[in-house]
Amino acid sequence: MSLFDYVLRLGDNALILGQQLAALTGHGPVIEEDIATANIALDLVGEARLWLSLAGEIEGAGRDEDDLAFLRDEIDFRNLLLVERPNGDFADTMARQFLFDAWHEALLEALSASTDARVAAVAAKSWKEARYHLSHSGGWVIRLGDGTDYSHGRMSGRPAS
Amino acid sequence: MYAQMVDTGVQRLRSTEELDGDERHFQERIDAGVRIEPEDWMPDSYRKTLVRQISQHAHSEIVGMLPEGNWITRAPSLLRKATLLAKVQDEGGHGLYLYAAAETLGVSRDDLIDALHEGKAKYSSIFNYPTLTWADIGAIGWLVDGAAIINQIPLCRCSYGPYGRAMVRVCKEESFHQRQGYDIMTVLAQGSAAQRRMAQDALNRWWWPAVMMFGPPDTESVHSAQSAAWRIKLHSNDELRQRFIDQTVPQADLLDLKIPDPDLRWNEARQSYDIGAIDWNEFHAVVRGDGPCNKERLAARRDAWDRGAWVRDAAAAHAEKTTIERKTGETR
Amino acid sequence: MKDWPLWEVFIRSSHGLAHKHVGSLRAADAEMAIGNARDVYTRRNEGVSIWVVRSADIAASSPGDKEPLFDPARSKVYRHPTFFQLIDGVKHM
Ligand SMILES: [Fe+2]
Ligand SMILES: [Fe+2]
Repeated sequence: MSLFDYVLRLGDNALILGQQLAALTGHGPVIEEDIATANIALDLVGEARLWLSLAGEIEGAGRDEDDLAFLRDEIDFRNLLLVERPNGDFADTMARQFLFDAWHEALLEALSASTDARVAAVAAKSWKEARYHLSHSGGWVIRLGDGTDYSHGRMSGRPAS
Repeated sequence: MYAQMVDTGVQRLRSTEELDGDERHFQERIDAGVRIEPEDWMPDSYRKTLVRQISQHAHSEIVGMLPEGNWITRAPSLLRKATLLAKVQDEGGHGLYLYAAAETLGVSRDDLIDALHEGKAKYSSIFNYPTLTWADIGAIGWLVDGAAIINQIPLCRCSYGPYGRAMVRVCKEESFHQRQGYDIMTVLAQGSAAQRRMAQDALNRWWWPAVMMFGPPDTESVHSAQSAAWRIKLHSNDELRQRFIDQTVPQADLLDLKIPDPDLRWNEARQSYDIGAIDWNEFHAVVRGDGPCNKERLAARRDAWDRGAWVRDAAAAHAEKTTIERKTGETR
Repeated sequence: MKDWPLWEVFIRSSHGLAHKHVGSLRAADAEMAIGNARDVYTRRNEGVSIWVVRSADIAASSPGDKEPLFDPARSKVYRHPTFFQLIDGVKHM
């Protein structure tokens, strides 16, 4: 995989998940959580902008973050299928988020030591954000897993009712 | 405004001389510019009116997230997406600050939210209009947030401490909202013919609803006198409306956009703009629940709240279990 | 359902001043309260440290006690440097 493809993949992950979370703005279970979700979405959109700008720079064909975000066909997106999973209910959103965050946090930490200084810089900035995301989604996985019978069931994959 | 036609439950305003005891002392403190704090004695009608006004204001912020939230996923660039998301998020924060201010008056946020969902509490008429194009996001920031700022700045000095302090926070954050809206309008107004048309169309649709946001004319504002005496309303509807018009018309001129009012004229004597007749029937219809989006907005809020119920319950249950654990030292 | 408890939020800004009350919020537990406080009250770099306290745990002075609590301090004017008249020519004091 070329560096361009790899960086594009990182950008697409953040972009698609950010977009999904952004769609929840104003529809959360409580205002405080709405604000938290919007913060995470903002971090991810911000991260996507950094990766996509870098991808454009590496490609050297004059494409900027918006060209890459808006003017590609869907078959050209390189994101993980996980981030495409629908928002579902709050348990679905949090399960998706927790799994992504756990992976993302470890990945970014490692990439902070990249030999490519540009990659290392974006990773280091985003890693700080990802650590917070993981503690947020992790907290919810525990709350829902422990909370009520229903929330425990939803968190462990029992269908919603 | 965000709180329109707030009922004070008072039929006739009494002068300070007509009041006695606690009530007189209370009015004298307000007249002297003393801030009322939650623990202080206050007339029941003052408390109830404030709960109505602050909760209406809070509901407006929260319902107001919906029309703009509708465009976050479709914003035309990543920077616009991030900016709009931050803006809509701020409105959620405003709702939260205001609910917290209302709660100092002895009501609970959940009760206030229930009142909204049951259709017993109002929110601003402006949020019952649809956002049809991206230019509407520009028009809302420019006009609606612009109008909100005009209304909110004086409220920072209102008589009730927690409300005034919430407004200070809100106003600080509000400053970028109007600018991002005007920036969107500027780019569209200076863009292609299609973009100009889109900007003009948005202004055409949002102008009158924005003008109506300030509420009925002073001649019909039954409750204003009492609210003014209590210093929870510091300027009349018409005064604020005029301020908004005088500030906004030149901004439209700069963009070469036309205010959709054939009767709009500069009045040299008044040093203000005269405007045409406002269609108050439309305003009252929207307030009554018959605006283009009333049902959709309330349904979206109710739906979010209902779908979140099990989540709120689960978090409460988990917190309770961990508290018991900590008290008894037992682990599960 | 029971309401989530109300928490008061205190933030210390980067200027090194003491924690200052900034507002309140609802949260089910302390960890959530800190997270929410961060998201609600520090979106514009307002702080470097957060305290949250359950509102129900705050003991407050009552407004009826205002006079006995605060009036006595008013008569102690000598606590304020402006009370003392300096003779002409004194510097750095
Ligand atoms: Fe607002
Ligand atoms: Fe705003």
